Amino acid sequence: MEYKLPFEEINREILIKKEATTNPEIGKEPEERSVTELIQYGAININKPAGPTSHQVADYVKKILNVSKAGHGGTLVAV
Amino acid sequence: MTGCLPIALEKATRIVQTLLPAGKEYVALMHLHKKISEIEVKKAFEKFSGEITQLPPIRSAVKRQERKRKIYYIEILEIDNQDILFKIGCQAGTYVRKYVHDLAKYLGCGGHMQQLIRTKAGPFTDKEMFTLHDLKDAYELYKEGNEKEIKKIIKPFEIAVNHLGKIWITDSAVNPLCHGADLYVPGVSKITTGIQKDDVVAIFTLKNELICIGQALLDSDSLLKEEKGTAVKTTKVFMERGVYKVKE
Repeated sequence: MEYKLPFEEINREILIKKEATTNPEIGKEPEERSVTELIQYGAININKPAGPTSHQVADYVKKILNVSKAGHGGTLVAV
Repeated sequence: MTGCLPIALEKATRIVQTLLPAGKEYVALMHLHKKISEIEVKKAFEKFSGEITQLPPIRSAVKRQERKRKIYYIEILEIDNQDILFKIGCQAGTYVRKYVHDLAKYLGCGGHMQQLIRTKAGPFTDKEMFTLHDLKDAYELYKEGNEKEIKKIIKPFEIAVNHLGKIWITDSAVNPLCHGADLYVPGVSKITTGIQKDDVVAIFTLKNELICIGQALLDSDSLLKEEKGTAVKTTKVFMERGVYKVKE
């Protein structure tokens, strides 16, 4: 059976308040980002292995991708 | 704990803070220290659903006082002798290890958690996850000129706010937000339904780039009706200044 968390129960339909167009010369659709840009504005859903802490896993990700910042968002606390 | 661990990179790093208050789902394996009938076990789980009270463990990130947590759903997946596998959907900050300990104590036999797998953290689920090995292999391929795999693994950070209400704004309204200004109603182009006053909402460009996160000062209906005033109080900015500065 498929269960839902509270936010999954909220009906999110898109409604238009004011029709508008966007200038194609500025900004960029997220799907068009280069790998370099993706790394600057990216997120990864890691399958955490047993053993290392979440913080250590974030550190491994930093080393693998050679980036200076990576943060995990599972939980602040140890469950 | 194993399983779903969302990680955000570089300029997107702070987006993970929006996941902390989001609901979580786990699959846990509980081992009871004595054999207990299935009926009793099922009754205990019924008692430990809805709203529960728990005392955070000694080693925890919060003040050690009893607090109420919501258990959104519980499903016993398998009972094999003294081992019970179950799924739990719970409010952020629920200690599942403690939950197992308290439930086993209630049953009178004692018990402990043997395994814990996170299957949902906000909009991130166990349906599409990658191991550290996957990431390392994909990055090596990328360095050799093949970017196909790394693009499958690193997603635009916008996916991290899929659980929030959204507001799309006109091009001319974007740059002030990058400087930390609040969003005013005339800049709003599209919204999602279901936004309540004081909700954390995500503000997007019409190209679907995430600009910032803020606190809604109006609900969805008022956002559509009003013609002026402040719509959202900006709290965290992600887009760099000047991206939407129109060249003259």
